[in-house]
Amino acid sequence: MGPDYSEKKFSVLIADDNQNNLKVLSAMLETLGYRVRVAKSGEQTIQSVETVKPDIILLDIHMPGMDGYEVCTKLKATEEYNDIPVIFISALSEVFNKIQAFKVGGIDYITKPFELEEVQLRVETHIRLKENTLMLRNALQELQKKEELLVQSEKMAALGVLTSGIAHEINNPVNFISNSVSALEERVKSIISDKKLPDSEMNDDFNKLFLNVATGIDQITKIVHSLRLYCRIDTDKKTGADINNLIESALTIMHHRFTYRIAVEQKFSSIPEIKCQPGRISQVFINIISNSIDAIEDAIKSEIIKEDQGKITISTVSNDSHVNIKITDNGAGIDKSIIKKIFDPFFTTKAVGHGTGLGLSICQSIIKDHNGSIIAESADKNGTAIIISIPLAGV
Amino acid sequence: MEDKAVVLYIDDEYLNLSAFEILFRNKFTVFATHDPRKAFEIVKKNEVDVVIADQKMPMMTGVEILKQITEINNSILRIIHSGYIDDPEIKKAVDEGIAQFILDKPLNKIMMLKMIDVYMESKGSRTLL
Repeated sequence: MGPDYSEKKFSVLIADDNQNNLKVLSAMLETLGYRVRVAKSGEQTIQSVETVKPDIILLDIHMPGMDGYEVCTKLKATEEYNDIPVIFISALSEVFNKIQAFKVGGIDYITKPFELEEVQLRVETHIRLKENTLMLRNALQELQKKEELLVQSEKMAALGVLTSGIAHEINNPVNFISNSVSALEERVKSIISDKKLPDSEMNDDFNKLFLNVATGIDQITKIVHSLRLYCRIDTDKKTGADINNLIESALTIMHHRFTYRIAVEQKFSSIPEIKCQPGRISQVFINIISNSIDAIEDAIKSEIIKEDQGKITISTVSNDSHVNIKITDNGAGIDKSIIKKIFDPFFTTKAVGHGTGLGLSICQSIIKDHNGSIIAESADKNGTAIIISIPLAGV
Repeated sequence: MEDKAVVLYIDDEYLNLSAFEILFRNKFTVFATHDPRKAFEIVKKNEVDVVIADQKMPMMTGVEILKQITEINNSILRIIHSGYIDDPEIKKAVDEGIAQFILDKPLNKIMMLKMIDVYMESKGSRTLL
């Protein structure tokens, strides 16, 4: 049960050096249900605000000592009090500078002699406005918190994809290194016990087995190198990197998802290093490649393409100003009606529970942070191309 | 003459197939393939004693392969080879008898030899080298 604003008693601070004005305004506002405090000078006004923060201030301009403009300026300069609406009171006979009143932060003014109903209505209106603004601000903060939580959960999900991919990728080479070493051990033992030199078949075996071990170690090394990119992902420092290497790193992580079914073609040109956040850029590639794999698997299920026809092509090229990367797949494609929305946060075509829909919007914000651009093209149901362009100057 | 057990090994990673074949070629008659369709043909055309199938494969999962093999020859020892011990499909397969054992990845050679040894002894007809 939240606060019931209909029951809330709002408080008004009336600042005026004229006793009569104070009496009249106080009486009226009190009968209307407001809690009224009074101040007779500029200094008193500030003190009163500091003692009990009012919901609105009716502020006379011409007071001894600090005048109304000064009081207002002081209040607006203080973070704690600058959201209190200030309505200036001025006498028709006095010199009243409207521009000045608004410049120092006043929200409205009323002139003496005042019509009490007018005063009442203006006070009500401005209090309502302030309350609405406060509610909106709170709602916005809530939304921002929730958005942060979702981005975090997307990061966690992405991390899950990463870690399960890495676990699988490392397990395989460990497996065949282990088997190869076992086989080597058996053969060495038999040589020692039989005191016989290896024959040609065993020599062949030795060559194959040592090559297996070396290959396995290479694979694991590649994976560890890719891992290093992600260790720093949150405090990702800006450093020069070759985008081709970052793409290869992403392919290493995703390797287990496409071995036999999907062919990956790399058309890399020699490109200069770009100052960037390598972990985040790799994350972009992992996300896009993952989407391509999903699209191809969809296309295979709907029989748009055959089981072994899945293909992803990644090309990189640079010109005087930019590095351009194009990732195409021959998967299910994106409908014309939604292609403009795919980078919107929370937009997803997947079933509930399969992805937050934040992936591409995060990719877009990462690319934007690098002063680059990312667009999608699709020829209706058959294939998608994602085109990323990053300036050579980088981030 | 003592017959060697006939072992069929299915995995999508070429180097896994190669290392397995070299390691066990003297102990067993080894068939090694990445292609499930080839695997089914091998089972149809040979008296296979043991099938070891990697679970995570692109075209069919190991469990799906073992299921089809039970339909061709129900007396083969069926083992799932996997690094994911929590995979629900594997748990279900063991519950339903589609897979009789799980071999963790990386391969524990002693455990595998024990499994095959026990099975072959219970079969009685052939023994391990």
